[in-house]
Amino acid sequence: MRLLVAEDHPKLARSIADGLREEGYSVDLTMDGNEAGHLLSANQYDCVVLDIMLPGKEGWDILNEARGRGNRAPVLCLTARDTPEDRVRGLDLGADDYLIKPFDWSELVARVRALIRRAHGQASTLLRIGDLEINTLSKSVRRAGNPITLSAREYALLHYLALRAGQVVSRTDVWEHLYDQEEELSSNVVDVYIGYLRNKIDKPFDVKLIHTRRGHGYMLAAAGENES
Amino acid sequence: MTRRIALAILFSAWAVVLLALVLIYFVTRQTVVAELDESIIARAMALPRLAGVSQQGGVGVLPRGDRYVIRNELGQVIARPEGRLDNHAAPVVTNRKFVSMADGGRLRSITLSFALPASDTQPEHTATIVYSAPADAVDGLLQRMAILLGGVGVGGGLLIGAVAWGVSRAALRPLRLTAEVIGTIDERKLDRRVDAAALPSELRPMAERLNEMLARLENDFAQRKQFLADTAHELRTPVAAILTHLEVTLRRPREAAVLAEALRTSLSDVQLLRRLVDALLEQVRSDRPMTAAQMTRIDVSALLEQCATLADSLASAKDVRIVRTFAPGIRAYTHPVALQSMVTNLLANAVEYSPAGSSVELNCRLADGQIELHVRDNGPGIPPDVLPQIFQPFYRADGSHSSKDGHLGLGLFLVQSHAKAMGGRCDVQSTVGSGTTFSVLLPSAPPAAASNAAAKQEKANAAASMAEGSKVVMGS
Repeated sequence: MRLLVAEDHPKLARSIADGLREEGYSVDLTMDGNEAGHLLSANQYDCVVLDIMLPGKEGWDILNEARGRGNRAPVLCLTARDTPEDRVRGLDLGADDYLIKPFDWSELVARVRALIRRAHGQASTLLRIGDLEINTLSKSVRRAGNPITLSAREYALLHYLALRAGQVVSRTDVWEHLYDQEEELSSNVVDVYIGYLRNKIDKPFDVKLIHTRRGHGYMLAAAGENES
Repeated sequence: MTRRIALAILFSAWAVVLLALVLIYFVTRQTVVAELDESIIARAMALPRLAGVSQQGGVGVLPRGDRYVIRNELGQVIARPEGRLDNHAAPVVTNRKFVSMADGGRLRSITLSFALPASDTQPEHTATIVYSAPADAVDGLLQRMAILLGGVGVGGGLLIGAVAWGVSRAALRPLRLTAEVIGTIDERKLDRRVDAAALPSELRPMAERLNEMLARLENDFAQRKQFLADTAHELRTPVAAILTHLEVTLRRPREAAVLAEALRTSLSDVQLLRRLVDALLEQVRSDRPMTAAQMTRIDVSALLEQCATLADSLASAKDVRIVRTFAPGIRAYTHPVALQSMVTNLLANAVEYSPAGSSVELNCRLADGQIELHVRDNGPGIPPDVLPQIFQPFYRADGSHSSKDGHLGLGLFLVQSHAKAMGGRCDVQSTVGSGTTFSVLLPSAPPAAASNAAAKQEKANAAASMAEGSKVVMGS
């Protein structure tokens, strides 16, 4: 999952970004309002953590413009202002959630998780594809009841495919959603990680869940949805 | 006031009318009773004549209800007087009274004395007739009249009262409505105003002053609310930074170096918070007018020198020189702690925006009973459009919204706050490209009334003020 964190307090911004990266997210970080606006229009984020009081351009304006362009990325507003008027304004402008500074770290992470889940139409924290179970809270994966150990990258890839289960996901999509802008990537990095995942998820089992659509991308789907 | 006078006039008129009614009653009563008496006397006078006519010793037919008794000199009841009375001296009325009867009726009873001349059978003698006639007719008349006049009196009074009440109520309606409006105003409804146009002209100036006061309060409240909201923001952001950093750091096992770095970062954040809290407390203190007890006569020059020395180290690090252009030995009555805070803040501010190699001038003089203080820099100057904002709390020249680089954004706000509390003010003049001058004007003497008490307390306070003066917010 790829997140954008826009926060102008440098220490707070770094802590949030570091913390979210440790949670397995790819994080783009900016401390400037204008840059936040550009990043938001250039990339597809799974969630945006947006401080309202940003130098250059206020969070309200960024939000307003992004929604005006049809950007539907879930936005969690972060602010030290807690008057009801502020909250109402934020939610009316298209914020999906609102968190007052100072906040509990676990709450921020839980809200980000919930926003991503809801954006993909998932109500539960447990994803099921055939006999594959992904617990998004504990980040544990089981297939046919057997626990499977995945690296953070592998898990992130599987999680993303699972959220879009039954749909073909292009390499670019995967790229966009799993890697932040700072990372140097080789062109076949997605294929390499798909290979790792196949080894762990599909190889020991008869029914394959990860499917390749040549020229289009990959799809995670249970057996029955396989034949499209 | 007008209402009371009107009421007094109305009720005096009513009292006069009542008095007149009572007079009318008594005059009428007098007249009616006198008429009755005359008729009774006439009837009594007719008695002997009747007696003379009637040989049977009867008295003929008396008007219905009339009765009489005739007594001789010895008080013995006699049937009738001897001889005709009407030819003799006029009778003397010796008594007249109303007599209540056992059956509830009332009689008017008149006693007449006659001097009878000697006749063939009698020597000269006197006789008394007590003649009584029913007074019912008169009583009835007087009773009806009393009822009528009483009714007129009471009814008139009620009518006057009702009219007065109605009129004054109508006249007071705008006042009552105004009072209702005022009654609904609290700190959340300070935008309400009294409708001055609806009030009588004599009350209009009061309503207008009231509205002006409400406008001032509303403005003041809005500013305070804004300050409080800003303060909350300023306090929350560093707290959030510390909290998040510590929480994220503690989520996993870390190397000692990482933990040490987290502690160092948090420590510097906490130090920033402490400075912020100190500045806020100073602001809260400076928000009240200074009391005479806090003021004292000091060597202003010495205090300025102290501040300049403090700022020298800051300045030399930036290759900026602080030039003192004030005479030694300026003495004035002021608040040493607040003055030191103002000068320190202004100097730190000036040094901050001074280019390397330039100088900051600190000037002070006494003029027209005022301390005139100038801090002049040769920095880039402040654009006119942001000039009005620089005294706002949490305003920062770089446009940032948080105290990330150690700028609290409270320095100039505090300077102005202090100046106002001391009965002075702080102004700024700036030319983009050539520099900025902050001018502080403060009273240099205690207010006349307080001067004696202040002089007495001066020595005692000097020690206390100095002790308090040890903590000054710098470079915010």
